[in-house]
Amino acid sequence: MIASSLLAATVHCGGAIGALPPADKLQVSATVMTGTGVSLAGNAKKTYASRTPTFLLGEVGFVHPGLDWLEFAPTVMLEVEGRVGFGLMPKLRARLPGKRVRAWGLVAMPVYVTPYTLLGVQVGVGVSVALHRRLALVAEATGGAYVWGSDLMANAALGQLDLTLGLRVNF
Amino acid sequence: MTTSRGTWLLALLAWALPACRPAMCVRDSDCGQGQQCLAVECVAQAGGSTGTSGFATTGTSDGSGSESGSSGSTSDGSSGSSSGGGSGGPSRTSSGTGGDTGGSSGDASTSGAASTGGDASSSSTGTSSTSGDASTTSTSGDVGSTGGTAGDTSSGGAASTGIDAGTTGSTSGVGAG
Repeated sequence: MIASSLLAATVHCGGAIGALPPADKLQVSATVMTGTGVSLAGNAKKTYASRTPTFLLGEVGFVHPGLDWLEFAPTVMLEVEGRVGFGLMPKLRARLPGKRVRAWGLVAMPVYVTPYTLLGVQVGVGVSVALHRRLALVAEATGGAYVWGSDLMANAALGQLDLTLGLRVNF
Repeated sequence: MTTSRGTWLLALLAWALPACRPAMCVRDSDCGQGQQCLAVECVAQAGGSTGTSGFATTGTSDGSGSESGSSGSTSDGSSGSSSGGGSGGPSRTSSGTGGDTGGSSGDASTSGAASTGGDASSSSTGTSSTSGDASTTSTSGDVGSTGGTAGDTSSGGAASTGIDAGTTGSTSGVGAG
């Protein structure tokens, strides 16, 4: 009983909304972005800033046609400036309605896994401007905090305010 | 309303960010190989070496003239550790103590860590003690470190005489700041 309910919930958009019928075809998009920003860390009651190393993001977005405002976008992260770090980031976007221009808020959980570890949370806003029926320019401003990981200073968290720009292709 | 809040947020950021001090690093990966980020400065990461008895020694130096080190051993079921600490600079005084505890035999020994400065104005102190029965002996040389200033080098030796279960060994390690 529980297993079958769980299976049904999983089929219905990850179990988030049980009343949602299974989608015949999900709206799928792929986005590539690059960004940088400011990293903040505290020490001795002072705040220190450093530029966030340039990173690349590659994501695939899934939108249920019956739930157009919500997008799930698993993301691969690469830090490529002065180091190479690999991470994963599940991301949820709550999108405002729009045709050519769409704005959204997002929440994500970035996790760097190698060669160092970082775990954090991220919130932000974004906008896309359609350049073509399938192509759109994407920009996001995010703020996040990393609270755990081997790359952090001892007894310190890391804050990040980043800006990313990229291109989205809708399939 | 949203625009107003956004404007306030941007104004707050524009005001607050310049107040932040520039940092050499905010993460370990901001630093080079063999370094770690400590108090927003890159410092030499703990180096390590393993001697003939299996004692592993580590030492760190933050570049400002203070060093610390530790070593641990496991041989024949016994475990031990010794540590040495010191502070240095152009005119340095350093001292250290260490401990080495025999596991299986229940005997305990402590090691003396002596660190000497490389320049003429340096001095060092060390302590050592020996305890337990003298069936076996293990010695470890330990924790050499260099101070933060150029040309100022200190090296230390931590000699521990302890009681292990039939083991004899020695180690030596060098850390550089």
